[in-house]
Amino acid sequence: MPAMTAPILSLTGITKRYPGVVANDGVSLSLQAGEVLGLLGENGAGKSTLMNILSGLATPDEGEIVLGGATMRFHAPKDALEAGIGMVHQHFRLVPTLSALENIALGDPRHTRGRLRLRPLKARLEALASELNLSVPLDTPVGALDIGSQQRIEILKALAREPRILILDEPTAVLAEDERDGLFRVVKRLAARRVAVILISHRLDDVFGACDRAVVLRQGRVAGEGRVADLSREALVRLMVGGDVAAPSRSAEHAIGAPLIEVENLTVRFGRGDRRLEDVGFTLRAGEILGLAGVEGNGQHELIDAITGLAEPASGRVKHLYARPGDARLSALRAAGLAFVPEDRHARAMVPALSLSDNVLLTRLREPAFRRHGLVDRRAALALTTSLIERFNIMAPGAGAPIGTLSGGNQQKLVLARELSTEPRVLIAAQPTRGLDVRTVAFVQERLLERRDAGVGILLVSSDLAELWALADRIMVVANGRLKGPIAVAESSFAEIGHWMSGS
Amino acid sequence: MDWIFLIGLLASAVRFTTPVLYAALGETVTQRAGVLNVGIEGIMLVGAFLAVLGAVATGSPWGGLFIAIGAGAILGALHAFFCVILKVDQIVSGIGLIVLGLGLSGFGYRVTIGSSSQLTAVPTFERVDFGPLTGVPGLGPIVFDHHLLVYMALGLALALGWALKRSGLGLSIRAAGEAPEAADAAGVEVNRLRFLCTMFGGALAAMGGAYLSIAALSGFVENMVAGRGFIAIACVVFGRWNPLGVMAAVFFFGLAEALQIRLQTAAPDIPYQFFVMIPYALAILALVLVAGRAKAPSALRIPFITGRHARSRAHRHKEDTL
Repeated sequence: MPAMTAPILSLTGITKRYPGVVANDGVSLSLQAGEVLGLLGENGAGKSTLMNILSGLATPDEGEIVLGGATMRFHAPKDALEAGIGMVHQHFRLVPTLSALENIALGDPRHTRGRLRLRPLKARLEALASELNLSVPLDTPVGALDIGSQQRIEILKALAREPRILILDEPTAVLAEDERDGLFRVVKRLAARRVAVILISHRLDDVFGACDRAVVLRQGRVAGEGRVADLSREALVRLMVGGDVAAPSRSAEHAIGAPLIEVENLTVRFGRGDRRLEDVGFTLRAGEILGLAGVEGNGQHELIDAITGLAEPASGRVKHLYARPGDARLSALRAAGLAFVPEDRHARAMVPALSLSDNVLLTRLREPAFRRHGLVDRRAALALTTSLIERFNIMAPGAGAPIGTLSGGNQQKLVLARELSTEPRVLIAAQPTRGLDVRTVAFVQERLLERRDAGVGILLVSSDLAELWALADRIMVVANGRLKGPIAVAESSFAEIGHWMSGS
Repeated sequence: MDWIFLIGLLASAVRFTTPVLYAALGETVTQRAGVLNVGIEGIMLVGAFLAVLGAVATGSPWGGLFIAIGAGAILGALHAFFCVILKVDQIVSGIGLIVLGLGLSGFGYRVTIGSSSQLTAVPTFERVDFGPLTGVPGLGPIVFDHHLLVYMALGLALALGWALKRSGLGLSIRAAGEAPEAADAAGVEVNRLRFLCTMFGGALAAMGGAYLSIAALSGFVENMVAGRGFIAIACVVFGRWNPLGVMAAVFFFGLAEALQIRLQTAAPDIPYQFFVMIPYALAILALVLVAGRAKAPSALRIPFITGRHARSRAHRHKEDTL
């Protein structure tokens, strides 16, 4: 715990308004050198706006930023960088076609004035990386690397400018458990070098795992702050949501029914360099949640594509026992009772520019209920969407509003509402709670459990092991090109599954 | 095919290559920064016209060249103003430039030099005097018998190839065209860079036009660029956005152009229009062949909007709306 000296950074009364919302409303906070500050808050609490202000992407309407004793005003990311604020964005800001070395040199006048001088940079980075125990390939195009490596490159990139303050925006959202521990060790080493770190998160584990102090934002204001040692989980959750959130309850009794999907000897290719996930076999049954765990980028995506008929597997078979045999197109599977929540919401689950009701219609265009005289029955779609908005408590101006204008959590709620509105027999949900706030996560999880109890077979893909542990009846893991399990949660241990995920 | 024919063919291929090479090199830089300028045909025309006007007014081809370059940069800036600042669709703005350039140059010529009743002498570039080297059989006509602008174009291709790959500015340009958000976050001023690259592209296109009117020929003819601006754009794709590749692609088309002119005289029975078509047909064929494999800069044609209201691809993953 650093001694209380003059803060390296202090924000006073930061206010930022966007049309219709006050994103930050008089936010004040301070930061000491060598301190790790956790910035907590739900989606829409104003964390990102505050960090955009600190990193020069947005300018505050009111308030003052004092950095190392001097009042600052940032107009562009360049200004913040020069003032010594490094930022690791949630969605990495790396140029995929460039190597780590080139990415790090980019925009740094010490290496890019005139001729590119990469050799001294490389030496410096190698020293820095070994000191922090960060393993990073410096010469490969970063687009070919996994997410964990890309994040380490982002961190190294920020550190190469020798910042006084390092901001990590939702750094653990994309990491598996063991990668997360590695990140926390790096953060601790940085703090020991007197770098002040702001760690933005909505996961409590991050705060308890890495932070000295926590500030909680709610609705654009500071809802509370304190030393982590003095805070309890319950207190933090209350501060974040302004009320108590019930954890999903596991109902002990539910009947497991007939097999719905049988996967046999399935092999899919994934990633660059032709990696393979080989010889996958499992059965999904009615009335169960089957969890698929694994570090991001181990072929989960491609496996789901093969199961849903979106991509051809390299070999092997997927039997959809609830559907007519022989037609494995997604449209046919959907008609037979499959619901699918894809992982990449913006690219695959919805069309941002279309209205909520048109997005609901998208997957149901062929149903007679939404056709009249051979044309689309928009009124029926509007009526259904309006009722879904109500039942799922979606914050939206109306069924006719473009879905892209909603917050991420509300978008995801609508996608889930649409998928469940068909009364499916099988639900394949990939990362359905990623990036959502605590309350929405709980809401989505409750809906899943409700459907499981109603006899739906659910294949749940998640990189959050704690979530799978709370929801799934059986868990399987992809690692090193193989599938392990499934194993009944009751017969396994958290440590064992974590061990499988690490690939050993 | 005899030696004389081959030497003549190569020598004239080099001459045909030059104007397109200027335009294509400029377009390469513009596109690498993320801006597509389909209007370089129009800029070349204005360059060709103003080079003649400027050369007559100043009495020197250099005067004409510099005026053309200045005008090209201004037209590039116009395109950049629409595409980079106002975020107008780049194709629409580019088509506007084509029509504008065609009209400006044609009308401008008619009200100035074209209206004069007596023939105006246009000061033009002389070929570089290499002394006895020009007389070397074979090599002389191909290598040592051209205008200075020809050698400058070759030097420029090499310089740009080096700069894009090995200079800090080149790195910034590549990043601005591939992942502008990343470049912005790293401290590169993306829109400023794109603006300047578009001006640079315009200046080079005008140089290409100037070569046509005050080096290759001596005088302006309406629509004298005749589609070379479009060939230049095809060459950028064909050369995979790499200055040296682009140079090879342009030379290939220069060769086709030189060949078709010779074939016209070799086969007078066939309507000459068929031969004129050859380079353009080759351009389409080349594009079909490489189209699948060539990868354009990822952010080409996507305007970059600073900060959080961006609507670009990188932001579709944005979870947090506030």
